[in-house]
Amino acid sequence: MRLIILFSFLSAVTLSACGSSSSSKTVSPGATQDFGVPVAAPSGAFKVSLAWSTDLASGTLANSAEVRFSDANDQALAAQLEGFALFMPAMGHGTIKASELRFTQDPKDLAHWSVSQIWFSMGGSANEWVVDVTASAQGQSEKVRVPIPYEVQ
Amino acid sequence: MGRVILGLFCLFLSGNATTLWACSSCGSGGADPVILNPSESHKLYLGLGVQSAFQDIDSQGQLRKSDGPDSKWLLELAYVRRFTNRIFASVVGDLGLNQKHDREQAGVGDVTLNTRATLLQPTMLEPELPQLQLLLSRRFATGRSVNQSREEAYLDVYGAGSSEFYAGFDAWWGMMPVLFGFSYLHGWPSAEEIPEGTLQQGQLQRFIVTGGHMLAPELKLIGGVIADQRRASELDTREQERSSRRLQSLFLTLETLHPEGDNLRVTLTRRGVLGDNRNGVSAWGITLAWMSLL
Repeated sequence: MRLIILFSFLSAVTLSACGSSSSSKTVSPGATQDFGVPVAAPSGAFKVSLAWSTDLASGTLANSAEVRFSDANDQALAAQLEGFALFMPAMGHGTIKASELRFTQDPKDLAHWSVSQIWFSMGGSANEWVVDVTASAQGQSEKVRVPIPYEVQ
Repeated sequence: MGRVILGLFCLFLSGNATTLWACSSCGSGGADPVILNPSESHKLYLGLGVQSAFQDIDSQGQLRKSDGPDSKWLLELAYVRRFTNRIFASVVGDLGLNQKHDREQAGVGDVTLNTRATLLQPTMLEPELPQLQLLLSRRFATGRSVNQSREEAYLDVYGAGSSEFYAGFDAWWGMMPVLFGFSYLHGWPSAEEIPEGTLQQGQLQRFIVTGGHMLAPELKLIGGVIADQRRASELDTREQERSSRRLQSLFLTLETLHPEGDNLRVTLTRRGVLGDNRNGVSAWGITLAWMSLL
């Protein structure tokens, strides 16, 4: 009897472990530099779009992104980038090392910002992570949630 | 007369005495870690466990390398006291130690208060009746959570982040030749303030199914499945996409059952291993516990 119980438990563990192992396809955002579809602020004061400069990986500060602001007519709009907060809605948490983030505004194009030293605290499938971008433009400060349509390794 | 014969037959087959030998959730890791048997009034519990081989399970059900600790140790201390013939309560606290490569950090985890009320008990003459217990628990979020973490690899995370109230029942056929039973717990978590807003985790449904056998008159082996389902969470009252959670785990427990004095229990667990798991963690775990009557 005891052997049967032990064997059943160990068999179940082994079989289920074999069946659940998988991995997802790697996407390379750095190769495309695609800003994607701009996301509008709730008031319509600005739109924001992101392009990821590197392949995304967790546990490193090597991730970086380009941020572009535009108006309702998709024309470049000077804006002040105030916050860039990563969040993982499915898991209900953000990330650490927010103080390491570096924001740089392009002096020739005030609608264009670079964000570097971005830390993902864990990996995830495409759209698993989002960024809450806080910015002010046309006298209004707002937060906009932008999806990350790439896998974080 | 028939019931007397059936009772004696069951006791003969199981090698059991007249006690019920615990419950369906006892030793599963899915509920309060220590309970009182009918003749006991006070008990102390000390458990030392470790979990390792972590893998994250994302919202698509895919396994991923974990960036968290390599191993998480847990020292658990509990005291349980009987208040009436049918009601007892326990308080459980723990201390965690997280390790990653050559770094480690220790801290206090969550505290839990648990109460069990026995509604039905089998007797020698009615061994086919289950022991039926009502469970009420409250977890207090005293440990640091993921959203309060400041350390790489979440080395400083020892708590769940939100307090939670649980209610449920435990049905256990402990006087039959084959021990078996099942439990159900429903959890209502409190809202948690995080940097992004107010996070309300979804309600929990936990099912525990247990089977086992008395290997010797004072040695019990049980095993079973714990199935957790948590509804989608809300951030500032907005439901978060793909945030519902599922986790099916296995456990195997060997426990001594000396009627008086000290007892030992060893539990092997495999989290997130059966069926469709989402937004959770897969890991191996082992816990060694010592229980002493006071």
